[in-house]
Amino acid sequence: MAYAYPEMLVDTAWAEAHLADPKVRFVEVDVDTLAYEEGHLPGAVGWDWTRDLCDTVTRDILSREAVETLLGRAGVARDTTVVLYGDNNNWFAAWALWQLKIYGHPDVRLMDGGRNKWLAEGRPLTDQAPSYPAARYEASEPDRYLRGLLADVTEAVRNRSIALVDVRSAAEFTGEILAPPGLPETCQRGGHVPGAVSVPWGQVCNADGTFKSFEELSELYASKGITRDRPVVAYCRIGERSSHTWFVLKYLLGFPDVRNYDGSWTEWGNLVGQPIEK
Amino acid sequence: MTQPLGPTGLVERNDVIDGVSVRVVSYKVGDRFGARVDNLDPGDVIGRGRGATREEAESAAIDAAALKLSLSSARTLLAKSMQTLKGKK
Repeated sequence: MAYAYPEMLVDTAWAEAHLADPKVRFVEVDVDTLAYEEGHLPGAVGWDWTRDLCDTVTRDILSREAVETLLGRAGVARDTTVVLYGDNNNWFAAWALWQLKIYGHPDVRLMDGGRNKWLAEGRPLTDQAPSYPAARYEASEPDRYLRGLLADVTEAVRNRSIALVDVRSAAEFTGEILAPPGLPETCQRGGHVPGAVSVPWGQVCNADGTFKSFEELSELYASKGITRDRPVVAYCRIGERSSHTWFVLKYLLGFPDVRNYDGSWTEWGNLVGQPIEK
Repeated sequence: MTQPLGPTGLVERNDVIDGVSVRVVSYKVGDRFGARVDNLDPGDVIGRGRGATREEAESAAIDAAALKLSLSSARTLLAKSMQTLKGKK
């Protein structure tokens, strides 16, 4: 069976064939923020997730105005097809896609397999950053129903009518560690949100970084009790890994109500007066 | 015309630094070598290095990662000690 929205993915061959297509804009978003400078798809714009895809003052996603500036600077118009890709199985590319969907960009896709697959296949690279004529971009009002907020999670804990998916590693889920090794431990408590089930984000990918099949993904989540008949909120530590899972549930499996809780464990794990489980 | 530049000759291996499983990736960019170390899950880069040889680049990246991991380890031990002390009050 095909993915629910197969048009949300392009493969590397399609991407190479469209490198010079003026209606397509490629954007690289990496975990490793220095990777873009070492080589990227010819014509691809680079976004730095630590600077371009968050508001570091308010600890928030981009404002509507910031999205308009970011896309306008990349020469993206409302009818441009934006193809996002990056390292580490498109982890941060999915974070960017989630925000573009919140602000209603009509056609935004992921390149399946991301940067690593492109490199492995020996496809063309450049170290030249492109320059595009600035465009005037008008974003939509944010779609509140793609984003999980603290109130949604509190409600999920209270009445268990919303499924919670914790996509962090098993050791983070059990509270053995507070953050992945080598990263800042930005919360006071280890464990998970009561009622959450553990489905680490990387389980949805094949060895080459491409997404597993519809059947494999369906079976993975169904085996954890995550089904399309209940709203789902995905979370991780700061909301990026869970945007990858959000993409899978929303567009590959076609779940009708999926939200990414970007406050994630760094919010819930630090709350006063809220329970956790280990 | 775009020239095919960028990292070539990627070599990837898993390793253990201070008890933590990591992935070490090294590659050639131009006439120099680069390397990075990530923490496997989630795959966040915790060390980077450059050098005239692959070995130099890997060594620099591993040193940087080891420093970060030792700081993490020290913080964890400190937090556990604090919890123990609180429990004794």
